[in-house]
Amino acid sequence: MNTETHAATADHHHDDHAHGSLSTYLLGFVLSVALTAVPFWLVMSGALGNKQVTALVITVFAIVQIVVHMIYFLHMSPKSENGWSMMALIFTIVMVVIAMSGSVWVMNHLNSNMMPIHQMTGTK
Amino acid sequence: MTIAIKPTQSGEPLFYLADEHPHPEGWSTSLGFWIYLMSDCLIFAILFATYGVLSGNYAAGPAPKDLFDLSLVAVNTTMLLLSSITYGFAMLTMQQNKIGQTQLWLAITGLFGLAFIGIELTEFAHMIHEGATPQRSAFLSSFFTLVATHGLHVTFGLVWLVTLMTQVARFGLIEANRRRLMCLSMFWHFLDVVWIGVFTFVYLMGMLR
Amino acid sequence: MKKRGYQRPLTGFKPIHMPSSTGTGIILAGLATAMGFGLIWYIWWLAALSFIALLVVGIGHTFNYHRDFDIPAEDVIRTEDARTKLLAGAK
Repeated sequence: MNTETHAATADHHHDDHAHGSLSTYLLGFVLSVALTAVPFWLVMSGALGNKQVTALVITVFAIVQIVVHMIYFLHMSPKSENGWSMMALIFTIVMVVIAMSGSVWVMNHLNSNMMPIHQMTGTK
Repeated sequence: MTIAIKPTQSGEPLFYLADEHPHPEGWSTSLGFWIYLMSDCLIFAILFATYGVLSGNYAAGPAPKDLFDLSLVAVNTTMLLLSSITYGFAMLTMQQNKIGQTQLWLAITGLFGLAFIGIELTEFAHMIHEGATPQRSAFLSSFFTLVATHGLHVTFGLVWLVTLMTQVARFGLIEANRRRLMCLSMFWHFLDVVWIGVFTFVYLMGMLR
Repeated sequence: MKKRGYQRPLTGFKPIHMPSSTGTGIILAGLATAMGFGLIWYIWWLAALSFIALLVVGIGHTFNYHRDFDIPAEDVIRTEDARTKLLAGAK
């Protein structure tokens, strides 16, 4: 989308979907590399010792990296598309959180409450 | 589009469409495509949820530790990340109207994508060769469904990429092609976002089990 | 609308934006039906063939860049004037 012609038509309300520049792309890339390398290193070396702590830490790294990708590669901002992109994103996040946490929560309860006991002892 | 109401002589209001103001072609494409990506995100969310529920059900078969090779996954992640940044370069050169460089960066992106698919298929072939087929256990069924759905997305992204390169070569960097490249850019980066979830929750968490 | 005092506009006609005619939609629908049939009845050659055809037709359609046109304002005015005359004659 050509910015010059757009400003001329006075219809630039959708062109605030920013394009980014070389520096923002490179910054995003460097951040992504770091945010990918550290979790891999943590798991492969077992540096933290505790598995649950490691799982928690790599989850945080994943969330941060997703935010980095959204900002630097997908050019998300609260202003893009008059805020409708952000609205769609927030709605999706709500749906995703409900679907994922709900499924895991319900199925875990089913597993622990409804599994025949004689099978439980050996496997889990 | 607004509806105007004008009083007439008889006192009855007059209804008509005052002005259907025209929109330039493709003015809503990027928002529409974003909403498509969000719906795609829901598909992956359900596959992640399924994997989350079933990932411990090995049916006395192989567990993630027996199957996954983290260094291979690290190479694969690098391929996808590199393809993301090279697509970014393609978008930057597109904005400068450098058609040759845009095509070059798109081609490099395609090669990285191809490498990603190749490594993933090798991994799958290796697993299936060892008897870890999708039919083996609930863990493997959900694993193959989730990871292969992502791989299928990347494959279709590659088909799209080749199509767009052909169209850019034939028709140049016209407005429609710029819009299409922008949509593919969003698609490609979105797949990288999904891959973050895959390598964290499937591969890294799998090795922690 | 007539009850509310709607009147035919006689002036101020503008070009009408229209989608171009294309047969792609119905062709894709036919191919998708063939693929669905093939998948349900395990006719794998049909499913594979129609899937490839779906891709080819779908991608082929993206090479068509002329998807819309405008009916020029003169044509709209001519058509509406003819209608106005017809209505006037009927009274």
